[in-house]
Amino acid sequence: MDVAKPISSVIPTLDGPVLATLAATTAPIILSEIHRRAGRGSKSGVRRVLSRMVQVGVIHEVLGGFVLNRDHVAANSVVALADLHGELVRRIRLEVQSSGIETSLVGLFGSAARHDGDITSDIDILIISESTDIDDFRGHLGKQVFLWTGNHAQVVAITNSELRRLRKVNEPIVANWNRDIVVISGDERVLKGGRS
Amino acid sequence: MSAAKSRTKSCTRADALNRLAQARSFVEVATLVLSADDEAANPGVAASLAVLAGIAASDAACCARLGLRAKGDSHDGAVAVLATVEPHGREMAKDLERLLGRKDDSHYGVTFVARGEARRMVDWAIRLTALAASAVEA
Repeated sequence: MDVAKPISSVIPTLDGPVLATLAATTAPIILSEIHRRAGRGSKSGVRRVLSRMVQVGVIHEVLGGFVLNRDHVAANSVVALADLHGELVRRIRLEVQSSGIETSLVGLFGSAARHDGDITSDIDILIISESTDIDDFRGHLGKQVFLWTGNHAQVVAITNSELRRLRKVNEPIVANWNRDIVVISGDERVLKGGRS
Repeated sequence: MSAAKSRTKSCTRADALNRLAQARSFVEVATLVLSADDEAANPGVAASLAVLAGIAASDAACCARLGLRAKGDSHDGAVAVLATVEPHGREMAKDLERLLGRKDDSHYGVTFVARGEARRMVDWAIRLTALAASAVEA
């Protein structure tokens, strides 16, 4: 999975980011703004994509720009493909919940959290837990993430006392966690020493 | 007011993550203030924090999904921009509109805020923050 633009894993052309951009809003967006938000391709390329999509009815050109035609038979599929990040987070959350393992915090960090990697990026997951079963679960979760995304998972599992030690020695990774964490379950203030 | 006519400002995913963390903190403190069992449990303070949480959550959802957020003091503009977010834009906009409608009363102390009213406002902020989190995840 391309962690920056997951839809590109399935629609590798410029069509993917353009559709994902329109799936994120119900408001009409003008060409230059679609180009900015898509973050890929040229403006003329985006124009060609829009023109083609308007022709097949997936996108409507309306007053004020372009919108995804949410009544189109393909619309639900487009929305699902634009929500692969969300689907991954929901699957990880479900996996944690069904494991029965007590955790203080589970979250994504790194490029998958920042949405700035590519198809080679690892999916970085932080788990803070006191459970003695955490190593088995970490291995299991890594395999599941690979199965779901095709990306290797780097699952970091630490205890609260290990976290305290890392904070004490100003380990740079702690700053990364604080900056990037996308909370899947638990409370991110654990990272700053609260709610453990 | 349409979203297109609203004043907006570009923002990044990092802004979204930061504003979401702030929204959660505002909600946490608002809940603590409400739960205090003395006169310090000023409902007006909890209400003000709920409004701040709502604004922060709205920014988080808009920055994550649209790459922009409302700027300026226009409540209608902020609600209109948030309503266009997919997923959950309309639901979030409804809660934000309710919170912003009580902003002046809570922030400037013009009108007394009853405990029940403050509790409802905190509930709206909690719901809005949870929906914003799922928009940030998407």
